[in-house]
Amino acid sequence: MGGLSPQVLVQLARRTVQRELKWKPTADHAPPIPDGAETDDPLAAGAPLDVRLLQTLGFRAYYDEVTRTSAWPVPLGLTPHELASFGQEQRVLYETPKSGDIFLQCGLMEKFYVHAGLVMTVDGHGLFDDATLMYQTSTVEGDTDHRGLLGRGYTCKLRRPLSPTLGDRFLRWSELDVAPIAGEVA
Amino acid sequence: MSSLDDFTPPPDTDATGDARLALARVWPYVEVAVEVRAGKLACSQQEREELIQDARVELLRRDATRVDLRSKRALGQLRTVLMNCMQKKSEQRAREDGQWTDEVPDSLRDDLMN
Repeated sequence: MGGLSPQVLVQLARRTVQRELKWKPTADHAPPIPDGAETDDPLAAGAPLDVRLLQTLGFRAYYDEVTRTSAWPVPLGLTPHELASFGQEQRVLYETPKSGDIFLQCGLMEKFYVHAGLVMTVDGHGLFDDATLMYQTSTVEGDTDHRGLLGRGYTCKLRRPLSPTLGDRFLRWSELDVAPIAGEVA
Repeated sequence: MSSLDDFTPPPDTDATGDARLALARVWPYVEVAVEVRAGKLACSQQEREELIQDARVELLRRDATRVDLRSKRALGQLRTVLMNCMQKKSEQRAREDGQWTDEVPDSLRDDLMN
């Protein structure tokens, strides 16, 4: 079975974040478990705010009103670092961004992912000081502010440089098979 | 230094935030340490200012949004990164100016041989 089109999520994020959610507290519109999702996993409600926004948008984008299930293929309740591990296991973790990917931002020192958001567009790339590859992206993110700082609690639309040289990675969830994992969520 | 809670939402327009703005927010947390270190490493006012500028460029390269301002450990790591960068740049300039060399001075070599 094939994957989903990431542009469905990108379009939903563009519409909802632009019109309703931008510059509002992420906690107000990103519940621990997305509305309509059912799960017995006690850890499913454990995602941090930035991931909660992603799973809320993802669940809503691929929700089927008839079956009342969502085809969103990413497990609920993961942290950015766990998303990276999941992506590596599934072989869908990349160093080059594409529209619709989930970006995983690496922390300053350790190889530990501290933040996640949705890549809306990739606007260009270049080298900083001849050694650090940077991608200029437009993103939608939760739990940040208009400067892109960590843990600030707001849903934002940002221009953000992301760098595989500095450890950032991109989860291409659209390459995941839909059926088996969707069954776990719904 | 302003508090962490002073979020000011941008105007209700099609405004898009910019992660590069984080540099100005994070810099005050390291500014004093950078200036003190630059003063110790530099031989002149100009060199001191160049070292401070080097630290700013390194913070821009590292991307200030990776630093969790709620964490003292993260801020300590950031200061260490910037200190190391300034030390490296200072040594590099000294080497280029001929003040610093990998070669062992003749006098020291003679002392060691004897």
